[in-house]
Amino acid sequence: MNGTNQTKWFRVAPAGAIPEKEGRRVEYGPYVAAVFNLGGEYLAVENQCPHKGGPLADGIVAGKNVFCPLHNWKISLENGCALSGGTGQVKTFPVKVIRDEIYLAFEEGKIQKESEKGVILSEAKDL
Amino acid sequence: MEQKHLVVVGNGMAGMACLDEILKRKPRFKITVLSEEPYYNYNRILLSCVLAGEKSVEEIYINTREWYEKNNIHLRLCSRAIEVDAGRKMVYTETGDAIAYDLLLLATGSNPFIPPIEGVQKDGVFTYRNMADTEQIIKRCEVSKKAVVIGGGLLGLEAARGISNRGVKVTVVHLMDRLMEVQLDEVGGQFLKREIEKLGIEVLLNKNTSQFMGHEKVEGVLFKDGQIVEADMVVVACGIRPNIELGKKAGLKINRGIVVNDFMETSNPAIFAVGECVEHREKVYGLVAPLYDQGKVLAATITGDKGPLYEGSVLATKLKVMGIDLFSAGDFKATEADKEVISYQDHSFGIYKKLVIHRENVVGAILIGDASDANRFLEMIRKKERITENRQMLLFAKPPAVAGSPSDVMSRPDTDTICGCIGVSKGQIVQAIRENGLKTVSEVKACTKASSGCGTCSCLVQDILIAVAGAAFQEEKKETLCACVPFPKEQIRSMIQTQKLKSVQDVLDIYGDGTGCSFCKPALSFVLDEVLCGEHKETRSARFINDRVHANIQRDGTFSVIPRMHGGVTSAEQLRKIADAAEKYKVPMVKVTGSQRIDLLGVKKEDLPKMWADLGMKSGHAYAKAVRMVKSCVGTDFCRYGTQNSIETGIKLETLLEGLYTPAKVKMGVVGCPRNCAEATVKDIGLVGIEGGWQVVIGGAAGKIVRAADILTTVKTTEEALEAALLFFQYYRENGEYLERTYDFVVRAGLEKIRRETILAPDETKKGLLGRLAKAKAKAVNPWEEAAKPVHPMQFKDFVLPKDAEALIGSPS
Repeated sequence: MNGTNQTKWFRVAPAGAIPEKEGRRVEYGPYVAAVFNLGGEYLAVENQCPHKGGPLADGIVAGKNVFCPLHNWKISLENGCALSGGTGQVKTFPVKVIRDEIYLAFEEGKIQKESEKGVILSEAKDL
Repeated sequence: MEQKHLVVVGNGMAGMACLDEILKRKPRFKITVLSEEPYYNYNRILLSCVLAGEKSVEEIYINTREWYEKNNIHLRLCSRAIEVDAGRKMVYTETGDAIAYDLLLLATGSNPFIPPIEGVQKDGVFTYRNMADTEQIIKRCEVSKKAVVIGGGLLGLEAARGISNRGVKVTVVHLMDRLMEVQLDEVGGQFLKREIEKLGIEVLLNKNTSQFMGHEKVEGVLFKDGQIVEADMVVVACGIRPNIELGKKAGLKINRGIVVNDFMETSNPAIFAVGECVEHREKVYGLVAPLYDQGKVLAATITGDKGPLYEGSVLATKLKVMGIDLFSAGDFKATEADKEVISYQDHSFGIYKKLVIHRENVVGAILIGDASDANRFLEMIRKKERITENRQMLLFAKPPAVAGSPSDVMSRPDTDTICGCIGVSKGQIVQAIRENGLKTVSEVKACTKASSGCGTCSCLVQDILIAVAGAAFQEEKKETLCACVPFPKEQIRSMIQTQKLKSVQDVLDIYGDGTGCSFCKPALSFVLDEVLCGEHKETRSARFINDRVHANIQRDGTFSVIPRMHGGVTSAEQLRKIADAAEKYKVPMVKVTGSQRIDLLGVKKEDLPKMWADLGMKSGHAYAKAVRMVKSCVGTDFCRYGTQNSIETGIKLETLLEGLYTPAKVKMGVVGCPRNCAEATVKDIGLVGIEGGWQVVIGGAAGKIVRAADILTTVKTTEEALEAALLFFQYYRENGEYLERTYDFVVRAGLEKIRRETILAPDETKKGLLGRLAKAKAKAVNPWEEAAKPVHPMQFKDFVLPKDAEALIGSPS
């Protein structure tokens, strides 16, 4: 990511709020994501299976993949690609944990000038 | 030239295999076979399968009437030869016939050894050697409750398995300090003992039998140490002795057996002998493979092609004892100081491997639990292969042959016997594959019968198939649980039991890829719950979403809620609550289901716990691989045709089983008469009321396929009907594959086997099934109680971020 880009981050919940190896639906206005706790690492994708729009947040997590609860498509949480079932791809969203809080970025690339004030900018370097 | 008359005494495996070899040489013989037994030539090794009820007499015939007729063999059944006059070249039978011979082949086999035990003539004491013995034992099993088998060798253990299979409790008694001491060392004996005890068979070692007690009928066994074991049936299987009577009468040279030279000639040039009655280079063989080798040499000698030599056989046993693979060969004891041992022991899997090394060669081997490398080791022993270079790799399995690759077995001559049980040669298998375009091992098995006996040669059959069929070769469908945990479910169950594995992750870490998938995670969740009777460590993330929120996910991500209504019976009060909830949570659809339940469709996840609390009803489990429901008709309560109280019985059955998880969903039905209004005969378990009783039916379906249920049993009382249903239910829980519905399970397992192992099983077995069921039931809960006590604060919740959720943090660098 180039230095001028800033991302719009949202505080989702305390880190323990999503049980390990499960996902939860996160909604903010028009945005809907599925955030997964992979045991220390968090990943997020669109909450819509490319097949029939199934809620991926309710799927079974295996490794860094999730199986859609409707028709068992296997979706990579790292790149959003369908790995079995059919072809397709969902968007991925950056997720960070800072001071035991989960942060999610719905959209990348939009510079928010205000963010230069950076409330917890220093911690961000540790990510 | 005049035809010579060949008389064969003995219609067993050795005699007829030898005769087969003789016939291949197209001799100008007139042939007569004298058989003591009233059967065609049958496979004695498979008697244990007849005893166990797995095969019929006809199924173990090696040669049927057509074979004798086709080859012009004059077969005289029930004609025991009792005398030989070698001077006049005459054989005399018990039935008074005198038969002249030019050539005499003695294939008299062996007799059971009966130790001098007091009371051996009592009613209920049997030997186990031939078909007549087997039939008598089978008959006795019908009235017997407790059997003792004297002898812990191969024969004794096979007898024990068969008797146990027939529902009689068995104790095996052995004089030595370990089972099968001829084939196994001490550790091997312990492995085998443990596996056998798992089958519910008691094993007593170091027991010297002193007396069979009882008046006319046997009632128990007294040992020299004073212990008494009760038994109403005793089978003596203490080994065999060569049957040398006729040999003696013919004046042949005899030691332990009829002495033959390397050409298989006896001391009389007109008399030959083959099989277990023979002693060659001071050895007597009781196994099949050497008999075939002897038979080939004898066939050459007797037909005037004297030349091939029989030089003895490396003693190797490869067999299945009670379903346990076992192999032993050569000098496996390694008692001398200059011998070394390489060994491997896995107690949980019951696998034991031992190789005995002398200098640069393998000289002996024992394999238990996994005998897939048996042939490799046997070749090493036979060929005295130098092993020093590969010593570190010796015990590791050779990678399986792949399509098109050459295989050791292909370098063998076509006449080599591959399947010792049935006597199928390599050439026959190759020919069958080519002529019929066979692709799988089971096709070869069906076509040639090779490996349909003990099955231990199936690896060789596969190697041949791969070499001959090449790219057309197809793997047999493997019955492992999942690619992530590549073990059969049965094995996973025993791993969980023996190693106290508690959670899905435990199993995945130790026996799987550590990750699992959407199939094996729920599957393992079920198996852990079932094996540990509810005392497993629950991992919700390994469950399908339905089992995390106890409702059925719909195509739009909402859920359906179906409360339990036992037997399909509800009340005005329940209906009122359902109606209120439907309105309060704005349920878009209320539907009466095919299972006599009410379905509230389109409920949001977060509303689920609130709705359950309002309903005050139990979960109907309509979302789970579990007991779904019992539907019932009104029966004798109201119906003028009813013969049984189907409502009360339906409610009882549902109450007894609700809350329990199963390999796949279990739908049940109880109907008061055969008009079958609640469709019990297309349910997984059904009770059908008849005049004066119930039919208990299983394996019915009216889904993707329609299948009429099979009748498990017909009983008089409701209690008996419920018990039969419960026995089958638990049996299916333990033995069904994950996601295998009862209609597939019943076909796969076989109705007879299911009956034998449930309703017809010994009381101990039934008690076990019902006990485990009761234990699991005691742990079963109503999952909707999680409304008040969620397993996680966020169990039913998702996140809707407030407007001010935006946090200004720096971009990651």
